[in-house]
Amino acid sequence: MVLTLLLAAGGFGAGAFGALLGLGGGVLVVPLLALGFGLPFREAVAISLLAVVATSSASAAVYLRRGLANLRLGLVLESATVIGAILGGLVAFALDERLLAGFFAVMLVYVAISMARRRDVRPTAGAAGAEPPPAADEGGAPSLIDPATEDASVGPPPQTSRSLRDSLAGPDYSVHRLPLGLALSGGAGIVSALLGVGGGIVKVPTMHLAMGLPLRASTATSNLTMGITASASAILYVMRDSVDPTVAAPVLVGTFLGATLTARFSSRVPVAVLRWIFVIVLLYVALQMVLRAVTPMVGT
Amino acid sequence: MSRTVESVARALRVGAWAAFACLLAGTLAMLVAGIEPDIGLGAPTSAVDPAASLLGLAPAVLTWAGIAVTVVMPVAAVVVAGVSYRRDDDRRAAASAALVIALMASALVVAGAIR
Repeated sequence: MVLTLLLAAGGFGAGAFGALLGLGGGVLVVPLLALGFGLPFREAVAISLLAVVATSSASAAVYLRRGLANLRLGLVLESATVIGAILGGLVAFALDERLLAGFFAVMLVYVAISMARRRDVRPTAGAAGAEPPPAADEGGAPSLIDPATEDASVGPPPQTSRSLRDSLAGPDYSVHRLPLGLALSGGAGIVSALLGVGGGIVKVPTMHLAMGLPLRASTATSNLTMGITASASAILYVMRDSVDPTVAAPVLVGTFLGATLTARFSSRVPVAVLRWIFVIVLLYVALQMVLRAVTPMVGT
Repeated sequence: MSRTVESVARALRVGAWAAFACLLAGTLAMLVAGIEPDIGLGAPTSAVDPAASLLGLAPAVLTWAGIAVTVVMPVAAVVVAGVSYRRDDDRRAAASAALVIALMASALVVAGAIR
């Protein structure tokens, strides 16, 4: 019974964390199950994928109703992500994983610095949890940032426009650099397939830094789309009997509760806090990737 | 909130709670039946009392049902979005949803072929 409760508690933490940051919680579930409970790595990954789906579904329902998650944009970006995931799966065996991990670590540090150097702006009038478009960087802004989002006048798109980009705009923000966003979302799929990390670690910075979405909208939309990506992989694991229901059930019960509760209260978390937690997580994952790059592979 | 977003949110909410109910019932049935999570620590799974043995099948059925609903939910949400967009004659958005479904099916086929 104690073991069941511990698994549920771990799932609760992962669900809360994933729903808050748009990361799905896989960053927590895999080490928790593999290192904390001694579960085989493959089984830990399988249950982690299920937890990502659970987090996504439980929190996305809330975020959609609040107008935070952008369904249209999510579907468009998800197309690129799935294509990237297929490509990643095809080339996975032809590339040196350690080289990729090193490259990914450098990219994560770069993105973490970009996010940390953002200037936080007080929300203007709008829906609960609304946040103005990202403001200008202070000093040496990375080139990923769309100059258009530095203009405080960015607002709803003109109603007469019928371009794809305009049709993807949110209630109080525009979508910029759609081609770049699609390319980076494809990259998120590749990275996800090659390195076994959640696409959210790439998607949230892509939407926030490159496409100009507010951070809350980015995490909410990432939550929505991650479940779609993870479900395809999860189905494969379930079909291959890699999921132990006695372990998965308590973890998922905790995940559902954590994600649902966090989604309801996430708008009370200040954006600055959200940003710094995300930066810390990016640096933590970057460290993991560096270790993966420099540590000789044993038994893999 | 548009009708499509409302439909998708409702589908996800109903699915999430259905999955949660199955998984919670399965977990409770596991506890009643004396089944511990199998994490390779030699946890006893056979020491069950008669009352619990009557529930012997329930934990597996319930937990697998919950897992199945969990996995299918995002796909169902995309299908709901596609149908709703199509009903509203929003062809571009409907095509996006259809593309995602087609690509996911392709990914499963490719992955199955590779393995």
